[in-house]
Amino acid sequence: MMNSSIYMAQIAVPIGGAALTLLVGAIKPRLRPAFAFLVGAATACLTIITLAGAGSPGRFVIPWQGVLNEFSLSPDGLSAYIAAAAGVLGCLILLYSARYMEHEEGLTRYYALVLLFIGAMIGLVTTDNLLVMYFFWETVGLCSYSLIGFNYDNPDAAKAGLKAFITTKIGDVGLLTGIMTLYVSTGTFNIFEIIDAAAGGAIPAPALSLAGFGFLMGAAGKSAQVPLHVWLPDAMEAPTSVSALIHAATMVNAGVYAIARTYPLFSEVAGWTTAVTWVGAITALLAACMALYARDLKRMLAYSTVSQLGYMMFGIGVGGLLASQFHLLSHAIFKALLFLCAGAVIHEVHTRNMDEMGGLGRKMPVIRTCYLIGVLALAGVPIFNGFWSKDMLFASALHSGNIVPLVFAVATAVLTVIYSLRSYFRVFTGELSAAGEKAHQSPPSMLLPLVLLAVGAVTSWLIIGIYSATLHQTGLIGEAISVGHLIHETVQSTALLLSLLALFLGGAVVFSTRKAKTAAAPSGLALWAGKGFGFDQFYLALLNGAYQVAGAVISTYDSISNWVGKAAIFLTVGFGKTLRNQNIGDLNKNLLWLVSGIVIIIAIVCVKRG
Amino acid sequence: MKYSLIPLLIFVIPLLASLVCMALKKRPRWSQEIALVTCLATAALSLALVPEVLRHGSAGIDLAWIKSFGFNFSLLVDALGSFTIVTITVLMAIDIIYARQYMTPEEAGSSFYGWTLMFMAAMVGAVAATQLIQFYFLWELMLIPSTALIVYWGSGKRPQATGFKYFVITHIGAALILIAILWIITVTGESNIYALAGALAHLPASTLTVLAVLFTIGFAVKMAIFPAHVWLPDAHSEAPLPVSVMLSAIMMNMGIYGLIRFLFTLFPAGVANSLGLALMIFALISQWYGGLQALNHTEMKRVAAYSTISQMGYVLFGIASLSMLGLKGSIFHMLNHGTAKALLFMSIGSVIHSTGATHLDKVGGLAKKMPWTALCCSVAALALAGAPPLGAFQSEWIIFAGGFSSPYTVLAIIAVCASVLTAFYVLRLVMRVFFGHERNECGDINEVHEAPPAMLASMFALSLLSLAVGIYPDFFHRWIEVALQTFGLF
Amino acid sequence: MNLAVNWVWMLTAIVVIAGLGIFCIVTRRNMFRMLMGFTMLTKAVTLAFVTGGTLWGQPGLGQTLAIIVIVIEAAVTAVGLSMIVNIYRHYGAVNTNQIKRLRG
Repeated sequence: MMNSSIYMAQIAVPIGGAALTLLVGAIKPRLRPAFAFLVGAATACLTIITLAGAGSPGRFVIPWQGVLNEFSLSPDGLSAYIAAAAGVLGCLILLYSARYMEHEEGLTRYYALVLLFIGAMIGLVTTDNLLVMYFFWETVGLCSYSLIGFNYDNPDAAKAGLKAFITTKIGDVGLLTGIMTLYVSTGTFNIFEIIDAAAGGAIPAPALSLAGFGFLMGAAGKSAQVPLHVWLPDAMEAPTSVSALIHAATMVNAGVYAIARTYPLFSEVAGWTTAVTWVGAITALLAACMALYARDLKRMLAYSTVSQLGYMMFGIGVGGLLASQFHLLSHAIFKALLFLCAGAVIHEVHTRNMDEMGGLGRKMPVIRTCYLIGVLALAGVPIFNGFWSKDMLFASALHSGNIVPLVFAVATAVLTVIYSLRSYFRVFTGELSAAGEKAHQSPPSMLLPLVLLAVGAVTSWLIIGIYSATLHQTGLIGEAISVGHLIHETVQSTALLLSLLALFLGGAVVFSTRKAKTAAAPSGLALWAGKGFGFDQFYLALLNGAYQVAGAVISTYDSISNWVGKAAIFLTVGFGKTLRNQNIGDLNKNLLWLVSGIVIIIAIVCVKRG
Repeated sequence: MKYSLIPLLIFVIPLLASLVCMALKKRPRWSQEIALVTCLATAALSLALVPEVLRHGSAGIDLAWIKSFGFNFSLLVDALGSFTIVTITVLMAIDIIYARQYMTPEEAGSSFYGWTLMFMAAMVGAVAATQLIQFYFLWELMLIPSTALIVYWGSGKRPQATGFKYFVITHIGAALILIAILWIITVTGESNIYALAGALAHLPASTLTVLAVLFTIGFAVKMAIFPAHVWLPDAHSEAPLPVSVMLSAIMMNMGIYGLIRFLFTLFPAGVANSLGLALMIFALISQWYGGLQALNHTEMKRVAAYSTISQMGYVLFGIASLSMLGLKGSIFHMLNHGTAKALLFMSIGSVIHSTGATHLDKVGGLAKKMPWTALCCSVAALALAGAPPLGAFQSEWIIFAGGFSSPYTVLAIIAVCASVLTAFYVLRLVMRVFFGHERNECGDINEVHEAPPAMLASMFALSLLSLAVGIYPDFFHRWIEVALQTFGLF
Repeated sequence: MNLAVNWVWMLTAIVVIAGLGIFCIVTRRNMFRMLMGFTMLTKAVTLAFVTGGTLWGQPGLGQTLAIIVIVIEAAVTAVGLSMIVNIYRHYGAVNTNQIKRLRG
């Protein structure tokens, strides 16, 4: 049993570090990367230490006031591993950033935001209080938006940042609704108390449904699921290290985490698991199609992230919580690896367009190998971590009988193999392109994280034993699985056939079309897919339309109120003008008024008396 | 009720000081100092009143005035009243500090401070009033200084027209209040606000509803709820900046106070129930209307003015939800919105002061030259958007919780969606003005400098206040709970 | 003395004369004619007083009041005429159309 203040430390250290970075940046700017890395390393150590006690977590509580009764942290298996991922990946990426970002301006802001982000992400997953989770949710969103718009001179970056903010905020409306509804029904924000209350029937079914779908909406926004996925591809304007950390490995997992966390609460809600499954499956397939036709390397990786997140959602929906979270961890490692390699490549060739790259394997051998390992993990080739987690996902789907979504998932796997292998061949093999002439190997401080991540991609699946045991201990899954058990199960299952089928089909397509390297200009469906299936255009048209309508309504009201005002003025002035006749210079008129007045008085008097 | 001279002092001192200022026509510097001292003293006194109010439930004074009519001049400050008075006086004090440097004494002249002090005195008096006619008199008294401030110091092509429009429309609202007041006095013979609930209980429900509607419309006009909001955008954007702060951040609280006081203290319990749904709908329309218009305009003060309309929609939404949580949030929002809006206006004022630009598309990238203003403006923006750990996050959350605990969940969801709009327009303002390419189309970019120290000091004070309220809201929560206990509710 | 008076005829006469007087005041542009109208009105009033006095059994009071009214009317007519003369000297006209100086 560990001292629960370590939970607070793993948040306070990076956030405090972020604040101190401002100081360091003002006094000794050259120390910024080193300082940030040290803070990141300390955080990583703290999160790994927390892992040890994740089976039976203590609770760190600061009593608070008002609506928020307490600020509490309680990392169980589900949280501690994601927190560790955030801490370790954050540390590695800070190391990478030292050289990658060394020529950029505004580094104080960068390092402060990255550290703040790490702290907030750890806080998000380790708290068991929904209000505190929302607070950290907003904070990571803020960091994400600020880092996307890091190069604020670039109008695309600024726009992308705003788009990210607004899209996730729309999702957040759902999250807020969900949290509110739960609070109003149960009087508490603590997720475990709420789960108990729901099990005891304290929450009326409509409220629970509303909350469930609200949470799904919030998760869809944060994890870039269809239809709220539109911000992630544009978010690639951020520096690649940011993309690796936030938009591949950590923040986007927040949505999946929220769904996993509230799964015990909402799994009985009618249609919820189906919705989650379908959202995941459709996203996975759609995004894989978009990735297939993307020419921009980072954009392809972004779509790939969306697709893999879809897998994770799909996993939760079919009841495979272990599979989904395991895939989350695997994906964090290999996607970060891919992004960092991509970053190194883009840094050297100064272009993001894959058509302008080629033959870089000769110039950057280490990166080539790492990227290949990442691709193999993504494609789900056996031994690499992606294979095991994907296989578990298929197995869960088979087990729960969701066949159609499973078909989607397998189709996605095929496409994943195709686009990932293709990207490898496109960038690293073949003729050296013009842009690649001046490329050279990256410095060691950038290579080290890549190598470490590559090793992780090969070996991370071995922790399945400890991981599932921890999840089991905190009651999230039915039973723990050991490594031996995993291998045994996988080799024997039908799901293995599906995985191998996907690999075979995908590989066949890739190798058979390898010769035709210069792809014909995409047309029709391909073009549409490359442009993201028109989601952006649709939203823009919708917003425009809504804005016009709102404008029309408002201007109608304004013109009515103007008219009313004018009428009022007209009446008042008219009345005044009429009365003025009593006193103007025309004697006759004056006397007429006088006489009329007298007559009226006499009439009243007569009527009164008679 | 505890006998206390303080309510009398915080009413009389600014009133006398305002007369002194008006008299000192030739010495604007003196009236500036007098105004500052008076506002600080009043703020200190109102803060000193708080412990007494919390301990005894209410504090006040009862002076016999016109014995023959039975009119006493009595002032009573209870928990809600003290909350409002503290908000008003503290924000006003900070605003005066700002105004001292924003407008030179020659620009302002003595009468500026005279009117300001009279304005504050009227507001404080209206909050502390116990008799209906006294309340009405002070309510109307609020109108004159504010109109004068808009008309004589306003920018814009025809400040007289704007001031006149403000006066007339608000006055119509006040006339409705007067009708209701006279009706009540004639029917019940009782005119003490705090003693009327019993007397009114004997009236038929339909009469009570009509009276409630009259009061609600009157106060809603002051709160600029759609469709009675037409006076606000022009008045708040054409007024000089310190006056915009007063109108947007301070005077709005009077409408909120009046509505809550009259609906829940004056009337017996249950009167407002029938109004709930209608008020909610108007509140939602206000929220969305304000938000959309704020998105549409580029003049910075106008954006802030429409933001006020939207925020008042939030407050009315909280009141209309007819739940303890909703009311609590609305009362709390008095303070938080006041702080955030004042801060927003002050940062806009700093930008105007320094660059001469009034529209947000004429400047950009000012964060380098005005980092502190940028920081304060971001705090204001985050507060209005409802970001923790600032104060406005708390009150908005509580209002939403109140909305969700009412039977109209769909309306509550629509209200939550409106917060996206708020985030959008407020971020747009901050991003365009402070980040991005450095430019100033209304002057030389190199001449742009940070705001002078007094203005910065007031902005910092407000930022710290917002942060403090957000992090340690407990005291305010307890304060408002005490206030809520005295209401006859649902 | 009790004079039998047919009050209906008297009333008609009063109304007719008063009406004519008011008509002249209101519609005539020439100030002399307006003054004549005023005089007619006064006559009607005098008649009314006398009629009323007889009708309600107080002939003495009625006639006294009538004499008072005649005196007042004489004074007013005198003053009125002198005012008209003065106006003529000042403005050069007795037509009300030509002496409009207040903003119309």
